[in-house]
Amino acid sequence: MNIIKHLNTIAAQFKPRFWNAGTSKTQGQILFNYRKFWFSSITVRSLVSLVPIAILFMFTYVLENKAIRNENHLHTIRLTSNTRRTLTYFFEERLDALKFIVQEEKFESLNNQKSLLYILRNLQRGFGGIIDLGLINDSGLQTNYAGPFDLKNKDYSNQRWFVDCVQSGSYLSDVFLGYRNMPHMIIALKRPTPDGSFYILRATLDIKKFIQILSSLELSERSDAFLCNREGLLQTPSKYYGELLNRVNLPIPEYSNHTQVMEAVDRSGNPILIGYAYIDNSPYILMLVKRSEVIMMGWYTLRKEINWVFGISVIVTLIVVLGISTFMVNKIYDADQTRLKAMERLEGSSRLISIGRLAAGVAHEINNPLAVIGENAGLIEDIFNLKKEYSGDQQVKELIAAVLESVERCGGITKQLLEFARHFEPKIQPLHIDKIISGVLSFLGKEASYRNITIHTDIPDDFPVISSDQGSLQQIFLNLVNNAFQAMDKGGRLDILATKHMDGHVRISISDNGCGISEEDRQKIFEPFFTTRGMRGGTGLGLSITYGLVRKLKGEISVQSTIGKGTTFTVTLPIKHGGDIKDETLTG
Amino acid sequence: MKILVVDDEKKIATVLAERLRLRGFDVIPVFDGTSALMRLQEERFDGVVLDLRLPDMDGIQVLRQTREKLSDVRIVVLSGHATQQEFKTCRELGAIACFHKPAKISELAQALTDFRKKE
Repeated sequence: MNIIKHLNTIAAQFKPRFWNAGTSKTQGQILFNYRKFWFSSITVRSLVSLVPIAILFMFTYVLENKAIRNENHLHTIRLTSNTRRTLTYFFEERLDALKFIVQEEKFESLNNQKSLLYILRNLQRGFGGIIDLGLINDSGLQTNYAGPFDLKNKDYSNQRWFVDCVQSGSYLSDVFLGYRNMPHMIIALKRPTPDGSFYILRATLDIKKFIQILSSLELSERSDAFLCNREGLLQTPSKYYGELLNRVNLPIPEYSNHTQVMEAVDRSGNPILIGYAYIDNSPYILMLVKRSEVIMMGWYTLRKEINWVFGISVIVTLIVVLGISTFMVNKIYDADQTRLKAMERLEGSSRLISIGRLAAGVAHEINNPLAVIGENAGLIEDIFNLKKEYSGDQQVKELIAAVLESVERCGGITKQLLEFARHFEPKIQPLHIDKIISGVLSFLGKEASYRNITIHTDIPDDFPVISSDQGSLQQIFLNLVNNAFQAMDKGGRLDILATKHMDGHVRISISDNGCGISEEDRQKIFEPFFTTRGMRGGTGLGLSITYGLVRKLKGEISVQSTIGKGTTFTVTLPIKHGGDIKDETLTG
Repeated sequence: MKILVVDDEKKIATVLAERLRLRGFDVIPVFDGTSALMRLQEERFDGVVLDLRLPDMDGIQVLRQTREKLSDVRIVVLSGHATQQEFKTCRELGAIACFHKPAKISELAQALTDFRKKE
C-alpha cells in the first residue's frame, strides 16, 4: 500500500497542470478538453515522428539482411570454387602424369617389374598420393604390378572401370573398396598398340590426399566440406551428413558447370547453405555445407543492435513528444487561465460600474421624493408643534418623528450611495504610506484593544513615497481595517504588509485570521449593499466605496480568503499617479 | 426677515416656505433660476435658500450673479446631490451654509437665525 501511495505521490509531481482542468467544481470554466488535446497532440506527433523511423529501420533491416546473405553466398561460392579448382588440378595433374608415362614409356618398359617400380617411386616422389601402378592387357589381365599388394595377374575384365576405360580411353573412378578392401580410387588410361590391340595403365590414388585438401579449408563451426558422387554416395568422410560410401543426408543439387549455392534444410530441419560444384571430368561433386544460424551470427548481432537503436529511438522520440506536448498544452492552459482571470476581473469591475451607475441613478431619483416626504412630514410636525390645538396629540407627534427619522436614515443611505458612485475631490500629493496607516491605526487602536486584536505592521524603511490622495487612502485603509476587525469577533491578529514592486507599484496587504469569506460571498464582496453583517448594522457600502476609491487612484484591489483561516485584502497602487483622476465607476 | 426659497421641486419649495413661515420668516418660493434673479432684482431679501440643480441654470451661477450684485444677501445652499467640491465652491462664493437634502429645518432655521443675530 505504501508503495502505491509513494508512486501516486511521484505521479502527482509529474501530473500536468491542465490534468484536472474542468473536473474540479471550483475551476468551473473550461475552454476546451485539454486532456483530449494532449492525447491528440501526442498521437499525431508520435505518428509523424515514429512512422519515418519505423520505415527507415525496416529498410535498414531488409537491406542489411540481404547484404549479409549475399555476402555469405559469395563467400561460400568463392570458397567452393577455389576448392574445386584445387581438386580439379589435383586430378588433372595425376592424369597428365599418367598420360606422359603412357606416351613416353614403351610397353616393354612398363611390362618390366623393375622399371614399373622405378616409375612408381618417381611418381610418388613427384606428386604423392599414388599407391600403386598396374599394366592391364586387352583381355583385362594385370600383367605387371608395382605396389604394396599382390595383385599381379588379377583379372579385371569384368570390372566396370575396365569396360568404361576400354570404351572412352580414360577413366577416373568413384571411391570404392575393391580387392584390397580399403577406400581408394583409380585413374586408368588406354594406349592402343600398332597391332590394333591396346593396353591400360592404371594408378591407384590414396583418398587421404584430398581428404587433406578438404580438411585444410578454414571452415566455421558446424560447417562441413566433402565430396560425393552423382548418386549421392559420400566419397570422403563427412562430419555431420553421413558415413563414407553411404548416402549423404542432403539433397543432391542439379548439374551445373558453374559453382552454385543453394539454401536447403537438413534432416533436423535446420536451415543450411550449400555451396556445390561438379568437378570437371570426374564423377565427383564438391559440397560445402554451412549452418545458416552460424553464418548469420553476424546478422543476428547486427539485428540485435538495430533493435536496440530502434527501441531507444522510439523511447527518446516518445519522451520528447510527451515533453513537447505537455509543455505546449500547459502553456495553452496557462494562457487560457490568465485570460479567464482577466475576463473575470473585467466582468467583475464592469458589473460594479453598472451597479454603481444604477445606485447613483436610484439615489438621485429617490432623493427628491424623499426630500418632499421629509419636508411635508416636517411641516406636519411644525404644525403640531407650533399650533396649540394640536400640541397635545402626543401619538401623532411620535408618528411624525418616526417618519422623519426614517427619512433621515434613507437620506444617509442615498448620500452613501452617491459617495460610492460620485467623483471625489482627490488631491494628489506625495504621501508616506506608513504615516497614513499609523494615523488610521491610532484611530482604531482603542477598538483593537477592546476586541483583543493585535496589530503587526511591516513597512520597509526604504518604502517609496507615493503620489496619491490622502483622504481616499485614509478611507480605504480605515474601511479595510474596520472590515478585518468585524471578521475577528473573538480577537485575533491583523497583519499589514507593504511591499514595493519593480513595475512601479506598491502593494499593501491587510490580513486577518478571522472567520474568512466563502467563495460565493467573495465574488460579491465589492458590490453595494452586499453585507454579511446585515443584522449587526452593516450597510454593505464600505467595501464598494473602498473599491471605487482604489480604482479612482488607478489601483487594484483583490481579496483572498479561506473559511476559518482568514482573509487578505491586497491593494496595489501606482507609485506615480499619472494624469488626472477620472471617475472610473460612474459619472455623478 | 424676508427669505427667497429657490427650488425646482415645487412641493419642496412651497412646504419649505410654509415651514419657515411658521418660524416667523417672510418667505417667497420660486422654482427656477431666472425667476430667482428677477425677484432678487425687484425686491430686497435678507436671505436666500438656494438649490443647486435648477431647470434653467446652475445654482452656482445664480449664487455668483447674486453675489456680484447684492453683497449683503446671505445665501444658504440646500442641495440633493451636491459634491463636496460644489459646496466648497459655494462657500468660496459667499454661501453662509450648505446642507444636503433632506435637511433638518431646525438647522436651516438656525443658520438663518444665527446670521440674523450676527447682523
